[in-house]
Amino acid sequence: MNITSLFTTNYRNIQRKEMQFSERINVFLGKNAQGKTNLIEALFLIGTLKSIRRADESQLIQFGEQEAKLASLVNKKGIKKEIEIYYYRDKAKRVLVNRNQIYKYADYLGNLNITLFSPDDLIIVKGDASYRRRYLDMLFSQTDKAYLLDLMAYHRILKQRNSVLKDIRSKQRQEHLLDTWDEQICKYANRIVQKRYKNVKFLNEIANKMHKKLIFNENLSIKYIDTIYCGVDENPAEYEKDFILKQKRVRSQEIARGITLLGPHRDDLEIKINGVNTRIFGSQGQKRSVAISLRLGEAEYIQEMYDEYPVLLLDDIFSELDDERKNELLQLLRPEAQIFITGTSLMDFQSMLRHAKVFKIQQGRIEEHHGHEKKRAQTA
Amino acid sequence: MTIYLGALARLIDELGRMPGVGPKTAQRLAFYLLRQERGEVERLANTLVEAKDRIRYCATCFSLCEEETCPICRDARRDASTLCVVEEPNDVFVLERAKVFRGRYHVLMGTLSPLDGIGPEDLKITELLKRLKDGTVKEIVVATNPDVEGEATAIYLGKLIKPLGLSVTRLASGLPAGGDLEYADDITLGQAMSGRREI
Repeated sequence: MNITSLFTTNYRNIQRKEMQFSERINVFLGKNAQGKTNLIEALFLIGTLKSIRRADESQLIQFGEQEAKLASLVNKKGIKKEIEIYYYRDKAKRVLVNRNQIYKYADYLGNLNITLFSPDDLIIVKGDASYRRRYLDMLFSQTDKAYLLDLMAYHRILKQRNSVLKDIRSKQRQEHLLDTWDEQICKYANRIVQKRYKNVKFLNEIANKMHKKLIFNENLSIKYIDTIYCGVDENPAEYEKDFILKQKRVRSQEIARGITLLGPHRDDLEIKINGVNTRIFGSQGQKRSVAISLRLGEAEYIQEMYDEYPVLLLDDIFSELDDERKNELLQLLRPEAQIFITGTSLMDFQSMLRHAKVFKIQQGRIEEHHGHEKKRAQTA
Repeated sequence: MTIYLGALARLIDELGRMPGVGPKTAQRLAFYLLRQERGEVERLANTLVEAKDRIRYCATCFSLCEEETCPICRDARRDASTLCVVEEPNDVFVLERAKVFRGRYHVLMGTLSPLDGIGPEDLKITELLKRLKDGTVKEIVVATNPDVEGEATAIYLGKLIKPLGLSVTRLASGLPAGGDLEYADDITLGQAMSGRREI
């Protein structure tokens, strides 16, 4: 899978230019705040329709303009896809694949699979459980449409149920009205949790395999913790039954607080290195390497599900790593992978320049850089 | 639309408030209307008012009609023992067009949605229970939409009506007729698979 080209109009600070990419390595080179991450974000948007900065979509449009366009040619197992996204200030975006408009997010996913490595990934290890759930949900939704739709329905039911709980607390509604929503939430919770158990088990294996290669002698384990078993004697086969039992017990507490206390919206991932909880006891460096291993695991997971390695976006990732780790990481990326990587100095990329196309970015202006080839020619 | 003034701007505004009509369609409709003869426009205006004045909800099933009760409720040939419960009056027309149901209807006028403050008392559920009292109805077919709120409403009705000794059924969801397996989406296929039956 690779991205053949990118063309943007009025997108952030990037000036109109059609970029033709290498099937292997593409370097976005430039000083800080010139637009490197904007380009990475554009590619991420084409893959996921989501901004990496969780930005409001109107912010993607250049200042003073009314609409922006991203267009890209994607090659998926030899099949060419032309993807166009139009953003407007006053209305919803329009997404087209091979000139056909796509109306539902769930119908779009799978056109371009992407794994993004970013310094912000540290928060998956360090932050609260919502970041770890987001990591799982983004990954599982990318590879399983039914999971995404179940998740969307679940959150809708959750909102409705919380609203009933609050109404009961304020004595506006009777308690028996909760039964309908209990039945629904339990069904969807079970479907989501089953998939999370199964997928996390697999993810654990591949992420650990990657981690051992990245850092010699370290054993990474990730374990799914749900709100019913809380990590003790889990029995996924009985989840639905046990959910109903426990739900009855916490009902008065749920009413008092006006929120739903049980279910996948409060689950977590426990991350350990050599048996020790990384979030609590890990060093900054350990957390960083775990974040990278999780992303490497993600890429392998996608490979397993789609039989195709995703496009890798490495945003400012080298600045955080020492030379040894840098080389280890490069070794772990599959040789056939298409990679987009940002950096401030060509020095960082010496080892990979032979296969690379370099794009220089200065205040949103993009120029293809041929410097290293010339230099090589001169020395020859 | 700041470039249009006075009556034209108001017309575009009014048309744009309708569902499915965006600013561009509203403009196109407005200009179309202005091109018509006065009589044509007058006829349209009168039709709107007349429809609004004459059409009301059926006192029994809450479908739309022009009399006290709707033609379906008055039709003695319809099977009085089965009642199909739908969300909106429009759903009655959809099912009637398909000619797949020979019983009578009951329109709930919405679905349960606590978020929007809609509870059982806001739906025509008391009226539904009243219709079940004389024992004529033997089966209830719940035909609410297969979304979160539609499902919740169906579950609620099931819990309410089953204890009365009536049969409560729910429309099946699955493969579209005449469609190819390969064109069905994953969710529909999943539902069709779990709802499979013996042949």
